[in-house]
Amino acid sequence: MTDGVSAPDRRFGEEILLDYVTGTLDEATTLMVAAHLELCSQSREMVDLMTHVGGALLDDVEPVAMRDSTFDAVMWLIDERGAEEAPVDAPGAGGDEDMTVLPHAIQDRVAACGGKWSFVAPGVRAMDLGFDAPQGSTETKPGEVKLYRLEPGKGVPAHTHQGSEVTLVLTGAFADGRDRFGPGDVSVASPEITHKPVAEAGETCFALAITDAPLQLTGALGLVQRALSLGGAE
Amino acid sequence: MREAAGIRGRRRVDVATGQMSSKQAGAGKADGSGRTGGYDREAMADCIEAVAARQDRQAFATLFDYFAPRLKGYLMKLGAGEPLAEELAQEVMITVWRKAAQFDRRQSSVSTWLYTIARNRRIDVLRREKFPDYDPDDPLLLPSEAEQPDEAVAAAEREVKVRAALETLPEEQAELIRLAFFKGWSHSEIAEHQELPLGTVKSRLRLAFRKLKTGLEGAV
Repeated sequence: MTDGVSAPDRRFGEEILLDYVTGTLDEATTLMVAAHLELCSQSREMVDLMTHVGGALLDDVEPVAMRDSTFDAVMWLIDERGAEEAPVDAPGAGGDEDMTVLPHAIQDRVAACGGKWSFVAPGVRAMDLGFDAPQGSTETKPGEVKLYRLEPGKGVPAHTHQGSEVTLVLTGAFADGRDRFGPGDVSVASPEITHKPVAEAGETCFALAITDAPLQLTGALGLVQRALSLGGAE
Repeated sequence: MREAAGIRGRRRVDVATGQMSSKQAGAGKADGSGRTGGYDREAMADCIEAVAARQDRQAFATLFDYFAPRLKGYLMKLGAGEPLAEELAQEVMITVWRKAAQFDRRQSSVSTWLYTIARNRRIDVLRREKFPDYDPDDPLLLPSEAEQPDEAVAAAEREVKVRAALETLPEEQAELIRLAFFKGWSHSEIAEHQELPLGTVKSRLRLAFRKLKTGLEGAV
């Protein structure tokens, strides 16, 4: 699973990977990129390279002296806090056996938000991952960040979106009438597209979907869209 | 209360200072020995492992002396005021102490590891300002480190190569990289501030990273 490589046009482009490395993405998109990285070795290598650039720049930066007593204060804080802090164990993913195959970033999020599955269609369930609306203005409905679980051969009824929808396949594969998407692949559906994603036979398909708020295409998802549409084609 | 105070007197380790003096001529240049940027990265990695293995305060002091002022300088470049940069640098060093056992020298060089911690702490602070209920221990902020392929070049060596390749970049590309990392600007923000077309920003950065990648893959 960790050795997969997404096709060039299904991968996040360098623009969004750099935003991930420098920490400028919103929380939901950060999760999606983190999950994508666990599935796509090529993107992982690029992020590793970019992170090394960050490390090299940190080395070269002009040091600014810390205040005189800071070291002692830090040691004091470490001693004070040390007693009360137990090591953080990686939480399991919500008791759902087959979710252990998901990227760790997703399992951690599921455990942290305590999300529950809800019915979408026969064989299809969704879990809201409890994010705040990504950069939503007060005039628009917030977007959604959901984990989908499609049983083999089952699908989401045909739909359009008020905003854009970006989907990352985590396990299995789905076809949406336009194309087929496998683990690590990113699919972007703009508002005018009607699609009907159906899981392939054989394996349960988990996917992470971020839906943009209506009329909001300049936010993080607008970036995703640009990053994808320009990522591999040039 | 402050038992740690006594440490300062005996915490002069030659890792940072010794390397500085033996390196003046080539500071910042890769020399293939793993020593770049004015310190011995293998010795720094040893320090983190010493903190993990036996809570070695002297080793931690060495790390603190070298990295805390650089973290502070870095955060100030990113726009933090002095008090916040000081506080964040402290937080990063406390995280280094707490998470030392998670450091893996095969996967990450010391400065790269510290870079990711500093980035995550900074994100914490920005989010806390926006969302008061926000929980900084949300595991999402420390995404699982990507595993490297077995045959990958050792982390320290990768960093030496990346650094060497960085120095060969044309200034127009290097400048945009510095803006992305030191200002925290997105592509479109860079375009806006530099009065460049977005396409130019994209292509320059893309070229830069392709070149860095080639530098990493070549000359193995």
